[in-house]
Amino acid sequence: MSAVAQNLINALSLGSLYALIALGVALLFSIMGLINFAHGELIMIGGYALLWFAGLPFAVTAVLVVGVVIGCALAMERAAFRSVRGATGETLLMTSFALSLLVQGGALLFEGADPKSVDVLGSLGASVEVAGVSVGKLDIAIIGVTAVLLLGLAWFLRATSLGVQMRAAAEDFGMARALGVRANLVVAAAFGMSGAFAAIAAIFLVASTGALTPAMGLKPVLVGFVAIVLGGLGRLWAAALGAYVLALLSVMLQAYLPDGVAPYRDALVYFGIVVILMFRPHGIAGRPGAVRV
Amino acid sequence: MKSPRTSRLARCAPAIICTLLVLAVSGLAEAGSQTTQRTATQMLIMGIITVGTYIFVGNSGMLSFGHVVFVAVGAYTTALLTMPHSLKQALLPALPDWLAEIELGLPEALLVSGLLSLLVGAVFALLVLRLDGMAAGIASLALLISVNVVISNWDAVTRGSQGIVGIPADLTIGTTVPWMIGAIAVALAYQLSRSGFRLRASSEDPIAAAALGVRIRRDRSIALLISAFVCGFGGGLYARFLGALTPGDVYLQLTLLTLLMLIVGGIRSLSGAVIGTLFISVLAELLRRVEAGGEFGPVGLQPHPGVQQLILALTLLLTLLLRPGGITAGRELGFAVPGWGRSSRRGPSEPSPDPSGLVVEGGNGLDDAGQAAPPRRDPV
Repeated sequence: MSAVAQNLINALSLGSLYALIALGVALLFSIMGLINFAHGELIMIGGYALLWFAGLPFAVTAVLVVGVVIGCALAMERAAFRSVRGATGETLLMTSFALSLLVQGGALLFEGADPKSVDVLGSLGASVEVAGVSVGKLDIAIIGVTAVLLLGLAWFLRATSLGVQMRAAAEDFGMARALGVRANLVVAAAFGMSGAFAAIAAIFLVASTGALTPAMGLKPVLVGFVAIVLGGLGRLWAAALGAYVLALLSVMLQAYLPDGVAPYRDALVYFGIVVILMFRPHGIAGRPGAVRV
Repeated sequence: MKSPRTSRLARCAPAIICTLLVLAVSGLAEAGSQTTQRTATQMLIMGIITVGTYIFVGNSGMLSFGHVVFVAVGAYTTALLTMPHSLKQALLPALPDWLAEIELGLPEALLVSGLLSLLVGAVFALLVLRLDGMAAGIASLALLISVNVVISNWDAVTRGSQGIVGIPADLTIGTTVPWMIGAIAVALAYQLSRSGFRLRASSEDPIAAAALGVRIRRDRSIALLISAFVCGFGGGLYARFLGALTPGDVYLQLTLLTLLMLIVGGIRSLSGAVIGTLFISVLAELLRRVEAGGEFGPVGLQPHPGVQQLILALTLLLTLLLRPGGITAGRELGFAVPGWGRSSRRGPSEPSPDPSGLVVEGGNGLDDAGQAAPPRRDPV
């Protein structure tokens, strides 16, 4: 029983991290049809920013990291994505891919290829005993913060003017503009929020792995892509759902696969996702026609 | 497709000019140092892989991140089939007997590689081609990841992440060029076939094409199979070039490099694939030398790791922003008769009022970005 509970908590924690990443990607996809490869580099910048601001009180560091990453996200929008806005999904994807390589190259140049380590949340490394199950404080933090952010995002999108404008733009960008939604504002807001999600994901990611490399953003961003496609393109909550399903799949396979097959876990997870997509081409919660590409 | 207006020679013009280009660059490299020759051999193999990828991506307009799967299958197959028997026994004791016994020549091994890749391509077609647009791209990426995990862990056959060593590495420019020319010929032959035209039509306007009776998924599958076959060949040669093969050699890095070459060259034409390969290979090699540092005549350079990636990425970005169709912008190189498809009245991809033949209304190719982009200038 406690083993099952343990696995569920692991899945919830991993799923929350995935959801943070997937939402950052999904926000931009739903508004401008962009699958953002460079999201991984935002996470990477967040990781290195943790190193730059290490030594300050944690709250200050966190705010600075979030600020830096939001700044970078806005800069990417201004420098590259604004020129290709409205282009096809493929062009947008490739643009983000170019940006991703560019930022990675910059990181290689200035930070070097060797992994660096940073200790983020010293005291959160401990774990507490809850009803016979040991739960890492970091897990609790990830799950809690993600839950708050998800609720906050839902509230923002429903209750604020900007949020409603963003939803309108996601539904039909051209129509929304015709009705007075300012495209630049909405897109910038989406990039800013995406950056904030990337920064928070970076903090948790680095807190659990402790290592920084210029290429560290690639794996998370792939996970994010797979999660949003799995959940269903074009819906934000579906992206979060996809993230949790993906995490549950990996944790359960990790726990219950026989030893001989265990190394192939990721192969099974990703192959399973392709098979799920074969039966549900629009994702678990997707609707036909929701895809804008 | 036998139009009286376009002679056979003119229709084959892109392949002929691409071949001449390849021969010219290879010939130049032949005169260079050992390192230059090796780089040129690698360029040719990249060319086969890029052209192979182009057969599907360029004609169907669908992005694929999964083509390196075929390269990987081809590479490991050729490696296992051409390694000396004794070395296999020492390196891979758990290999099944029949596989350990076998020792083929290069052409046979490549053929088997191509056929196996074709089989994998069939599975791929079944799984991925049901999806459309971005979902298909991401699904192909998921397949690439899962195949890589298998390769990295299948110790009995692939030696896992340690990789296979001791593959006979005997390729030279001279022995690679014919394969590259073959790949170009296959790509052009497909592009000029009925299926090729139907697929191009479907990529410009899927709904109209379907209404005209094009069975899009069938033509996509055909292109994918041919594409997988060529990539499998390329993969086999790649293994023979490297001599030592690890799972990382046939993973994201290679995927990204292929796409880089395709997009910078021009993803919608065969000439683009070839020119992209030549251009990026030469640029990458120059940058690699800069990155490594050393003396360049009077100028001494410090080693700068990352410069290569930085500048290649910048090239890609500038291409997308300033010339979204790539260097060739969807056109083929040709002579005498201007353009075989885009400007002839028989081609399926016509409704293009733009004199550059680039922007197609309602299409979903990469070219559409041209509408939103500033006036096009050549970035290079």
